[in-house]
Amino acid sequence: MSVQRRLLIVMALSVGTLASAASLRAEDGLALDGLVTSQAEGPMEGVLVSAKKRDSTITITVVTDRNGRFTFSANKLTPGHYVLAIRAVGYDLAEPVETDVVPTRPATIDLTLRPTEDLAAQLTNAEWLANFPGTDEQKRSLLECMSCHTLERIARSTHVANEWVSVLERMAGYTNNTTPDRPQRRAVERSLAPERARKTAEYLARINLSAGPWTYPLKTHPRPSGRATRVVITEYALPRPSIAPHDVRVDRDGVWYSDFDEQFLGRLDPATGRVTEYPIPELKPGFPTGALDMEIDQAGNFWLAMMFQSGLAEFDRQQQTFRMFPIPPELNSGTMQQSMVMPGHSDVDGKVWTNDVNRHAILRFDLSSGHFDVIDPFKNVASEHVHAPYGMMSDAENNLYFLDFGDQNIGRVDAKTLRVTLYPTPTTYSRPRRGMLDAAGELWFAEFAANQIGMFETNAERFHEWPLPTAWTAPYDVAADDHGDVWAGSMASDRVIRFDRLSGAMTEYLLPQQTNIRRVFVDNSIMPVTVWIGNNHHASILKLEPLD
Amino acid sequence: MLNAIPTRKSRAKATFFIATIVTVTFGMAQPVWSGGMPDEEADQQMPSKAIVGFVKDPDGNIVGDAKVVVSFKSGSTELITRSDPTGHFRIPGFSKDADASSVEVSCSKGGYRQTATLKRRSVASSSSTPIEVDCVLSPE
Repeated sequence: MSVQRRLLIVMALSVGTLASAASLRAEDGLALDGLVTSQAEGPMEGVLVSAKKRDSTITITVVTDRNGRFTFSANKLTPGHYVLAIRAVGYDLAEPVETDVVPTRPATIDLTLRPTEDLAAQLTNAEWLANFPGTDEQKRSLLECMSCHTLERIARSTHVANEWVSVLERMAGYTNNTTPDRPQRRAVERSLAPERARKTAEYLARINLSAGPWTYPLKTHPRPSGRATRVVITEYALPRPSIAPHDVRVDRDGVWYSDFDEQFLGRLDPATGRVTEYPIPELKPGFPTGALDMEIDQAGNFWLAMMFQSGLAEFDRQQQTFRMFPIPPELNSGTMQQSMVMPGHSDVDGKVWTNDVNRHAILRFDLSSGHFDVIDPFKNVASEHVHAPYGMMSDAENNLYFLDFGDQNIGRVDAKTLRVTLYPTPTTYSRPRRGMLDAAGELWFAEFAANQIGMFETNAERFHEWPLPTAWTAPYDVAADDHGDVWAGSMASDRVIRFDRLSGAMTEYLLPQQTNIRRVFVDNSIMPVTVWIGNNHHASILKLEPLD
Repeated sequence: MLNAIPTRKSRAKATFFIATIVTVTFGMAQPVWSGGMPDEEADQQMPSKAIVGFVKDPDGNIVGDAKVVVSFKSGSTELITRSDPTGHFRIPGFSKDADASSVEVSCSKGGYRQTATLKRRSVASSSSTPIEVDCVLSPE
């Protein structure tokens, strides 16, 4: 073959490639693309690139592919002026980047990253936990700190052990629905046993800056790669920083969320980002506010567990009004707390399940009489650890399944006899937190302390457990979709985990900012499914759309 | 063991405020500031006894993947687990007051029927010595 002929072929191929690329761009409705590079790595895979339109509350994020390229489609970025941001641990944008998106032709903008000057500010809680020296038991004592704030806060502090004791005393007085932005004091204060406080204080003084710079290297987790880069994430900022979305649920009317801190039920319109808030009447004026669990009954009405307000709220979807069900005085106290509610099959027998966190008991509310049954599922069952009924599910007969978050049991309460059966998970002290029971009787749940996804076959009474790929993921919730994938949300790693049941593969989708994930909601109405979560500490709701 | 003593705070003046001074006990691995955990734990941090044993056939061969049900003579709670591939089972936590005589163990598996349970009486029975019960399955 002659040189000229070879050249001709190469040129023809090039033209062909260019032509097909151009037509692809047109067909796909491309709005913006570009290449992300750094001096150290060249083109970079797994960099999250976020675009936020000026004056909008909605941020769209995509991830660079193995060639370092990112692409925003036009149905995600409508014309306007956008500010770009990135997330790639160890790096910052070399300079601020803004760009216009116009309807006529796609914009291209290449991004250059430089090494960050403040790596500690970019670490996830999971990275901090992996980096801290100490035993697993010592590190586990920090898991609960993440309910309210990041571990960076601890690492950057300069308290010596003595000071830590008083800090811990103060922390013990805050409710679990507290953030640094809006701390809530408990009505009944708690104080720590000196021995325990001293032990923890000494550990915290070992890992912070009290004795000089950190003695441990700041290692980071790998950036997303492969399948984890094929995703679009939409983040909707809520109108006030003090809103703490906990549970989310999507239906024809929008994205509903419970607010862990303030006394509202919220609804987001995902098309516009507009938020409507429905104020929930207070049951205990002066007590900490906010709701945790939000569930739906067969009539389509929402039920909320009212935490320290002590009781349940039912939201009538037609009337848009609340019916409040306080805990009766003979059961109530200053420490009364309802974190969970399960009205899913209340149509069967007129009963709604909830919990009494303080007594580590189950309550069952009779809708017609207003009576609460108290069920102590651990009557004869002591433990090295404190039991705590948490996540709740009901089956078609309104039998209750609950997760013993304090220890390692899945419990079942028979609706007719109130007999309790406990199934210990194979892994010791797994702390099952929340999950769901599907129509086939498979109960999927997060093993918060064991860093695993769990599944309990309720019919065969068998457990299955799958370790998560990243240590200290601390999964809060697990939801199975209708197509064989299972989704878990982390309170620590800013990642949503996708578990392919058939292949056993796990994909970890990184989110664009620090995200304290609680409930994981899967919208099965579209394929591929979309996953919705609340960012409990940063007043936003996120939608994760996998592209495959 | 961790004892925490709540103090009253005047902020809560509601009439249904009935909490009084309560001794609070928290688990070793769960700090008192634990989110979603009980505020007050009365009499919880007691030492507990595990219940352990093997599922075997009459010849002493182990039987894996058998269902094991443990219950109390008093009380209605049942604990259910399965024997592992070595025939062993372990239920982690029971009341410190439980002993072998107050515990019922049954086991089952397709193709077998239960023919005996063998309780071992521990000589030096401390509050944390596990209760040992073996369960015997005979082929049908």
